[in-house]
Amino acid sequence: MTLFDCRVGSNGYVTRIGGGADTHRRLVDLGFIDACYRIRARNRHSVLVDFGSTSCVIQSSVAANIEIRER
Amino acid sequence: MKIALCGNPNVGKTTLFNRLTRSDEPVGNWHGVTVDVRTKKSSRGVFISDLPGAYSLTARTAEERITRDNILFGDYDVIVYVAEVNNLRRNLYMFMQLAELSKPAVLVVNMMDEARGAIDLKLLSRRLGVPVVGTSVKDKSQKASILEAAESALKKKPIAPDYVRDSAVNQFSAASVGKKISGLTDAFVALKIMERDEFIADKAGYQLKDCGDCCACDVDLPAKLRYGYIDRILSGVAERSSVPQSTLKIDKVALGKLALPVFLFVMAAVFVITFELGKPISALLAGLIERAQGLVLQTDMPPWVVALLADGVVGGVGAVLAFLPQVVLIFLLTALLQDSGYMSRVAFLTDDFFKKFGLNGRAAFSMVLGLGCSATAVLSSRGISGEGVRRRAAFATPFCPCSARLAVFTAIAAYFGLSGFAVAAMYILGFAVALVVLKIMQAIRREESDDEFIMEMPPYRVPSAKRVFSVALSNVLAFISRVGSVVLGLSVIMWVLCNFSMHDGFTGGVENSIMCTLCTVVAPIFAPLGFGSWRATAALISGIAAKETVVSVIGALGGMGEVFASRAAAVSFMIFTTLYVPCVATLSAIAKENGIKSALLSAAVHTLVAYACALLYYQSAVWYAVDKFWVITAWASVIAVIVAISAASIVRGRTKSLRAKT
Repeated sequence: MTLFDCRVGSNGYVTRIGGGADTHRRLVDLGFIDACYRIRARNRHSVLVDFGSTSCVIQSSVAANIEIRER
Repeated sequence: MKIALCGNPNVGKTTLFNRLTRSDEPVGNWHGVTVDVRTKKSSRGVFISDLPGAYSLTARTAEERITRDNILFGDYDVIVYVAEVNNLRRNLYMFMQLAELSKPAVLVVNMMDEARGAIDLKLLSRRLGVPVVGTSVKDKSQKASILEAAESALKKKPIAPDYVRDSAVNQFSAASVGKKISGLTDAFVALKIMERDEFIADKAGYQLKDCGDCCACDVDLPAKLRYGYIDRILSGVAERSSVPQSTLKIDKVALGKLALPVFLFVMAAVFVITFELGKPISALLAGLIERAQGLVLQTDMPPWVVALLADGVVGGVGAVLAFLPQVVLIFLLTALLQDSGYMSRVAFLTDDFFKKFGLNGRAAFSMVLGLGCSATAVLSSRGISGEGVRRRAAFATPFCPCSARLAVFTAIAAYFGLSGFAVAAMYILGFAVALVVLKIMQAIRREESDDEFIMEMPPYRVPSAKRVFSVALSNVLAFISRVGSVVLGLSVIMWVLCNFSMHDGFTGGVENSIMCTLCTVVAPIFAPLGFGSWRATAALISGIAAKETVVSVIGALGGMGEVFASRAAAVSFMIFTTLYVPCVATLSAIAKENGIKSALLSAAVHTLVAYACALLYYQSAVWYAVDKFWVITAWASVIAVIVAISAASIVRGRTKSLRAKT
């Protein structure tokens, strides 16, 4: 299951980050490996996710590369 | 001493820079405000450079490349790294890379007044081996302590993180670093090569192998080592925090089911307040300027000096300054939106919409900034990571009318008794044309949105009156200084060209003037648009230098009544001014970002589109006066065709997605 499949309010933690080298690097640099998440809002093409004290808007193609496990 | 100020985006670097150097650079509660290096001298004679925000020394956008190059190869003595107190874990990630580089550094923990838990700065300083200073907007005494900390940082280097001695790093270091990079440590180069940083690998002469799926190799090891080290450093130093409850509550409304009505209400409020509140103050200013003109006319000076001062200087500059209230209001309101954090929500809300035109929500920042100054908006597109998206955003942004064009619209609307809706319609037209141009660009090049959009969302903050006024003031001062320099200079030049003849010198009238002779040749081109007079042509030509001068030249050439024969001609002129060639500053910004070809193409596209739209409007208005029925029928048919095509494309899209689902 990926971050983009989650509904608003879903929470859990990131298990794996895929994607192209550039985007992968950015997600890893932002500290998303093993991070806890909560989906705050979503659009057709992007999701707004809280990772602890940080909130990020992530495009669908990027969110689809972030594998998660829901709580 | 030379200091580089760096850190993650939106941590308050520029606010600190302004305080340290007593400057007034623009700040905002969203990432990407600073897109270039700004260097100034502090009162103690220290040179301080404000670098654009970055998350890591592996650059992804144009602005991050600037920061990376400055940190790695700049000749700074100390790096002052600014971190946000509530995001220390993520903020320290880039700081760790400075420690790997063994650069003398100071850690400034900013926004201490907003800390959502206890923090021990002394313990943090001991563990990192660098001076740590806590700051906040309210605390003004930190300037001295930051500079003192920078001086003490010169004497010692930060403690090297323990992971640089990790066997994997050492192994990689020995195996990979054949060529030493001057100024960089072996450990830093090894970690960057492990991360597959192409820039560093190229510099070190190391050939990166194509590894396919990133998760199959150890590219994440450096990040895991760094975050593991940061977690150990922060243990007992800072409590982990979460997103503030107030932000979550406001976002439930602002990003929930009411998101679109809230957004439309906010935008409508900005325009209504700008025009309706500005109107009476504008009328008052216009009266004062008229009185000043009257006083000049009563003076006992040679006739040409009186005419120059009354029409060229007071009339020309006054015509623009009369609309200063509207400009002040629009700058104040956009600064208020930026400081509150709502601007970033606009990026999220508009993301789906912009995707249809090959952009993403990040382009909303450039568009909103474009309401102030198009040149700044074009430069702000640097924060967009996808090259294609960035180029398209830089190209399309100048279609959104800037504050200088606002002065033109307001002046024409006031003279011809047009309502605020006419002015708002110009903004809608500019925005709509930008979208059509983007759609055509997308169709021609068949490009999809290539930006993998990831954007940090800041928490809401009560806008600081000082910050809002400071941002608005610096923009207003820039506007006034343009009026006092470019507009004044051009007004005088235009007045001379309009009042002197090649053969007779000062004529006291404009009919046989140099400008009249020159513009009479070009003016017929604009006759089908309703403003084929040489006066309107002169105003348009001066507008290429700066759009504000359009109003000042109209003022100097006898006013609206002399320039426009009818209300329809004036509206047609408004439409043309909304869309025609951007000012020189904007064109040079486009040339800087996209190249000269793109700037020339932009000038051509703007002018052609402006001509077509003004022609359509004016000819429809003329025909409407003759035969209402046929004009209404023709436009109704065009609208029906557009609606039918849009409906067909929506139905086709839905059918496609349904098929894909099944």
